[in-house]
Amino acid sequence: MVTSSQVARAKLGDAEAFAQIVRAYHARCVRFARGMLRDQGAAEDAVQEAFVRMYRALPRYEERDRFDYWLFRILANCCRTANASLERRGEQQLFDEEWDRIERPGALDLVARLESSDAIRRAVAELPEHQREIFLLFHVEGFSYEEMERMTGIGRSALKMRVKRACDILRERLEGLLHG
Amino acid sequence: MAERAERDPVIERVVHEMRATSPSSDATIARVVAAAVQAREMGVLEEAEDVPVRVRTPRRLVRWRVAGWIAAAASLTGFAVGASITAWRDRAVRVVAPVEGQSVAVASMAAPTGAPTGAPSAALASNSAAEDARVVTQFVLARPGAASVALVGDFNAWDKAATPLAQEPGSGVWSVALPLVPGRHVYAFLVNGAEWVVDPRAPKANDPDFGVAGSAVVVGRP
Repeated sequence: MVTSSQVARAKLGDAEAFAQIVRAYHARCVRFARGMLRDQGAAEDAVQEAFVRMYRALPRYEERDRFDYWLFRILANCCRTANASLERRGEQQLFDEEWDRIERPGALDLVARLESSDAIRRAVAELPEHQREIFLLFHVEGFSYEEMERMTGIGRSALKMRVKRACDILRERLEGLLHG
Repeated sequence: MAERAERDPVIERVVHEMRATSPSSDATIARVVAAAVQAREMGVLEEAEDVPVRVRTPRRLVRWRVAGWIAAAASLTGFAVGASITAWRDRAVRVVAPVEGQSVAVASMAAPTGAPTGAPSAALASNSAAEDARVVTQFVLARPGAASVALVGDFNAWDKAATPLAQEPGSGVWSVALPLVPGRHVYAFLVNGAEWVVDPRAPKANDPDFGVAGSAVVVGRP
């Protein structure tokens, strides 16, 4: 969390205060961006772009919004843009090379795969982008439906449906691992 | 929240896995901060990927070319008009990060002119040169009865006290002229200190980050 004082100083152009904000949120932002973009390098680029845009827009930020909500709104925009750009350039890859070396779990090694985080990450990475984003924002980053409505412009019922469908897919993919 | 409270073991496991984070290195933080500070100082942020931020650096200012008739038309309602300046020399500047271990403060320090193009110091030097290349742009808003009108935009850090408009006596027309760096700027009027008014004659600039639309003006390069 950052303090109001840090935000106020960063608004006025205090680079050290801004650096404290970056330190506070960078790892979390990379976590979300990696979930969205499925690539560490692309995630770090998107996070940098988000902080650049955030710092530029910071003078307009008013504290009626939670700071992390506002930052993630910018970050989600950057991730969507990055995904679209990767698709346009035909460079969209489903997984990091590291993940590609991991075979999808077969029937005989389901339990073993359960112990591996890669199976879970792969299942999340295979969610459709529009479900993945909402699942990550809601379940992993802890934003409320109200915040996500304002963040994405998507209605609450549609958001709930995306979360539910994402959970259904993940259960289908991973339940065998859990109970196998 | 109910939906979160009712998570089953599978989803709990997924959330636990996806919440894992790796700490960010000091060098990474420094790189991000340097890029953001530099972009904010330049007031330039190109949208295209893989394209370095460019600042056009003026050699000298040669002449003013004020579009008087446009200014006259502008007085009828609100929109921005510009005057241009000629004679430029380009200098491409990449937003660069400090090298490993270099502090942010060093990266954001002003540098002497004449530094090699592309180095952090050159970027900042050209930035100060770009300050001299501003183009006077007039903003006009017809708002009879207003007690005050201010201009807020990316060029004045959205400071409502920075750029007040003056009213032509008895006309209800408010205007201000200020020098802007060439490029696209987003702005709005703030009427009576509180009412956000987009420029009715300018293209709307949606801002998916901020959530409130503004107006866009493109200050041309001569």
